[in-house]
Amino acid sequence: MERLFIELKSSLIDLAAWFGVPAGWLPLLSAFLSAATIMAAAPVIMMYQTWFERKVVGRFQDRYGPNRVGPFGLFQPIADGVKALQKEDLVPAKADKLLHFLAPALVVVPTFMLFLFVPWGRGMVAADIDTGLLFFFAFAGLQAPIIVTAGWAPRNKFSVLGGLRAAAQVLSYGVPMAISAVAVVMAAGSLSSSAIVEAQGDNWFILTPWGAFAFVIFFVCVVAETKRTPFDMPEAESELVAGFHTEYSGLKFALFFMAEYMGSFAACMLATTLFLGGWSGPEFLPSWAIFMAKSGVLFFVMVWFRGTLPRLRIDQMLGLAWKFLFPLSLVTMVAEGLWYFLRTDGRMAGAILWPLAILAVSYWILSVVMMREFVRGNKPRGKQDAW
Amino acid sequence: MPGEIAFGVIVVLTLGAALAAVLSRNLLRSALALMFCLLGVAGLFLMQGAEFLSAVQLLVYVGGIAVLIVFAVALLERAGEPLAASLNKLVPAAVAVGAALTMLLVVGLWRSVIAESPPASPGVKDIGTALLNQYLVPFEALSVLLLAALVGALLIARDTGKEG
Repeated sequence: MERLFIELKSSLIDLAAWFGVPAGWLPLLSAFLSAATIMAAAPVIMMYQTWFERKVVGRFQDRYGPNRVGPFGLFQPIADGVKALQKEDLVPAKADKLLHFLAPALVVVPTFMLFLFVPWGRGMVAADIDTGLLFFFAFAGLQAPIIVTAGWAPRNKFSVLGGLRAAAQVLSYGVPMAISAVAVVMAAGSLSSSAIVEAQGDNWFILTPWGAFAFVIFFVCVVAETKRTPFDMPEAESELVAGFHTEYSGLKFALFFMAEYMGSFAACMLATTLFLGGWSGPEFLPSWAIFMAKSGVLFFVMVWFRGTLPRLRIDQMLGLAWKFLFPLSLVTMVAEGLWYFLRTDGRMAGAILWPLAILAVSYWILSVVMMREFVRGNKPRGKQDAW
Repeated sequence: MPGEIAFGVIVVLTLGAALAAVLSRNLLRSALALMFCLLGVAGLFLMQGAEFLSAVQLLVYVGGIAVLIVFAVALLERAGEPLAASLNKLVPAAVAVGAALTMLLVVGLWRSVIAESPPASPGVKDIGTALLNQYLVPFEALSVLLLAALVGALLIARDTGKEG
């Protein structure tokens, strides 16, 4: 079971070689097989994410959730897909027709790319390169300009605002997210996602004093990056109708929806890789199943947030990124350095206590400053920004 | 063979996007085309084995600069209409500068020695070590310059609170 997918792929390649495919084309075939698997698996995962989310949020709200189509409503995502296909494609009269058509397609592409750089199991990284983590962040950032374009194309002021909010959010939360990942890179000594998993083994980074802080920062940023509640300002229905995808219907809307859910699962996978030991776990389970289970648990936490937390205000949200998470992530980096050098010195107790002390003190200072900021920020505008 | 095909596709994408960025009369379409052009350049870097450079090209140019351009254009109320002209009275000057630059590049390429096989590209670790040992001073000087630019931009853009 462990090597199921790897064996399947190598036997397919052997078969192609047997049929007389020249050796120069075999690497391309191998890349194509990996890409095709991802392009098939990611949408299926996304379909059952929506089912899972609706079921769980239903439980939170004391309802059943979808239970009409198939057993436990399991075929509901398929019915939803067929519904999206049949809907009329509405294009506003004043819209930029070309961009309105292109934006939903473009938004999905970088999201698919994210899955190339996470290790789905032992030896199961589609693009196992030295700089995998950098590429993951690069493609995650690629979403921002496309979403601004998507919001601008229908020439609707609500969707422009939604698009701009999305870009501001993705850019701001990208900074603490990357820095808290840098702490992991420093500990693992590599930017390659499979090397990061191997560096952890059974001592997951979340179990170290700096790792616990970095994980919380990283996860909060991930929730904001993927525009999920409580950070779903870009599509806040009470303020902006539906934000940047207000004017998209049918399959175009479905593509935005798909990009969002696939993005959130890819982010859960990355968080698992960086902090939760990736695919390592009990030997009797195949590594890819362990990895899926861990990522699934993280996605459950995201759903849990959605079922529990109210939405923030846009200025509070950006303030949280720049005034709280960003400085704290820098401190995490310093704490990681201390932990590393004290541990190699053999001072185990110090390696735990010093980083913890630094992190606790800076957390306390930052939260006091942040609280005062929140209280002052509620005064009328014009007085708060005069610095 | 697959390598040459991929190279061809990326070159066509890059050049096509560059042309579209210059010729499009719609500002946002131009900005988006520029983004694709930069993406194509990242692809070319990747094909030459310069993984790190490619990732940085994506992070800085596509994820940073293209976002800022698109952001600024989207904030303009009338970016879509009236359509801006892609040609104006500076065409001869632009053609002259472009031709001179092309000449310079062609002569430069003609005279340079191109190795048979590209040298092994340095890994991320080598680049990091070089930046923090051999090139420490220029690296730090650049950081200070960027920080100064950041503070300067904030100073210019700050809300003085007078109009509130």
